[in-house]
Amino acid sequence: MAFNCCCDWSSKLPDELTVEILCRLPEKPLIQFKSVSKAWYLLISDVCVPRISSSAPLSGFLFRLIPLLPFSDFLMEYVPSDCPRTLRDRGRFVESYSKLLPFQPTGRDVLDCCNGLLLILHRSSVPPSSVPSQYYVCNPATKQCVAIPVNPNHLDPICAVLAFNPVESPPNNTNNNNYKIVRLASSASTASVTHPPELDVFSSVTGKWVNHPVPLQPESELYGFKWLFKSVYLDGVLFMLSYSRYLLCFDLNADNLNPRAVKLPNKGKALGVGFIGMSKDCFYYSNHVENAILVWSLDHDHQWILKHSICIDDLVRFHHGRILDRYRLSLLLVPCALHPTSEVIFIAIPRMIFSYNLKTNQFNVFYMLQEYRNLIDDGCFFFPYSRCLVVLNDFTQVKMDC
Amino acid sequence: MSSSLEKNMLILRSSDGEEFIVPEVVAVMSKAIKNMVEDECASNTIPVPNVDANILAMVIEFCKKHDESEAEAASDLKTFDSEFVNRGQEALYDLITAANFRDVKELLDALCQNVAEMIKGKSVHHIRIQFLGYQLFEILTSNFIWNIWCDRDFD
Repeated sequence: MAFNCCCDWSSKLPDELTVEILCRLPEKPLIQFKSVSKAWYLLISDVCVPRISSSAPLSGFLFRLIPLLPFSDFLMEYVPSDCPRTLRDRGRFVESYSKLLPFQPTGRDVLDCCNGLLLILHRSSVPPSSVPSQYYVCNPATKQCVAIPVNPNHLDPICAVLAFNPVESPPNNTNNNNYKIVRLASSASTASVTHPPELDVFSSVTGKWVNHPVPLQPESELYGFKWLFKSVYLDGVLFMLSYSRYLLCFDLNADNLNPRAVKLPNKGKALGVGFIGMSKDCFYYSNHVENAILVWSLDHDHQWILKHSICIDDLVRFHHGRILDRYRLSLLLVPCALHPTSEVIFIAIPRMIFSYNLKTNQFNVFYMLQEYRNLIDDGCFFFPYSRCLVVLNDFTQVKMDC
Repeated sequence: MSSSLEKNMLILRSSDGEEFIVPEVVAVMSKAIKNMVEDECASNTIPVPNVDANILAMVIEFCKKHDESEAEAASDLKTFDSEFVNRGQEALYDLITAANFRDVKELLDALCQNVAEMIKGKSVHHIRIQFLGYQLFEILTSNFIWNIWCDRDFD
């Protein structure tokens, strides 16, 4: 009988132990047990879900393709990391998030993917548009999609990036999701000393867009250049690359974003602007310099430390020589992704994705693309994806409550 | 008493006064005891408050097995673990608190995993009654409120 049950675990067991137990549950019962009691609801959504999501294993990669057939649009493709050569989950993942949206997204609409959340842009169908861009944030794991409040100034559909870390929860807020969307308000290519570049930052906690001027030094080398819309978010700092070979750092928790520019390491003659990524809570920059792929990490004093050097001639000699040889001098031969938890980098050339183990120096074909598809070439839209169970705030409901 | 004790043996005294003679290597699997031994703030007899003889014996049995079987196949140890933690709810609860309080990581892992296995197939209703000692009134009200407030589709 319920009345003489002697095992009132909830009041006797300390929260830390309840969390230890709950964190070992599979996803589905864990989420169901939110409705057991208020205490469990709070423990699961504030502690267990962020903890599980931040240590979730890599599920796969989501990337943008150019179809080689005429008149067709960009596509997204998903490759699970455990069995990349099977056709099993391929279309399913893309279909699963597409279904959440009120329109059919193409490959061009998926702007970013950060720790399990996707940022998607709905472009207005009539250019030049008078309708502001509508952004959506999707969580494919929980099948949730929220429309981000529009900013009336966002008339041209410009790229934006997403900054999200499941373990960063805002103080005094029971909703544990805290993500930010960052987009250019006015571009650095038209910036001047009197008109520094501006960023619009949307915060899921406030539900509002805020404009921040981000003056950068040295102006002469930074203004007048485009930025690469590929970002890395680590410890509250958003990193981006400028085509003038600078790393841009914005502290998203600071009121003025504390903008800084760090000159990229320049050893020999680099080909392109390079790649930025993150693995095991460490930031990396990589580029193809002369005959090698070099990988640097950035220390706290903004000094570059050369970590790895992969000789391209060795790769060509020992592996897949004929295919790789064509890209020997190409700026495509840079990493497109880092494995978030192990020392593996991924390199994509138009028809193939390779994995390279930095410890064992093993170089393997990870995935081969279908005949009529081609990977888009700047590596910008190649995202590691891992499942995240956080529940997103619904901004339309918030509005109605007010 | 301590003079007759073999070298590298410790005496653990449970909350109800029973004493257990345990090799030091086994006792220090508890981080709390390890710290006491390392700080040399413990005599040969270490009091283990909050843990009664019954539970302390179980914890020691677990630690001994884990100490002996370091070289043994991991699968054997796993079978032992799963059998060891297969107990009634009350003993399980006491063991978890003891393992947490004494900081015995392997035991805590095995126990939490076991409880997770126990509850993962159960319904929300079942968990409320069996683990949280909910009473009928609470179930009726909380069911209603909670199902409205936080039920979401999850696939």
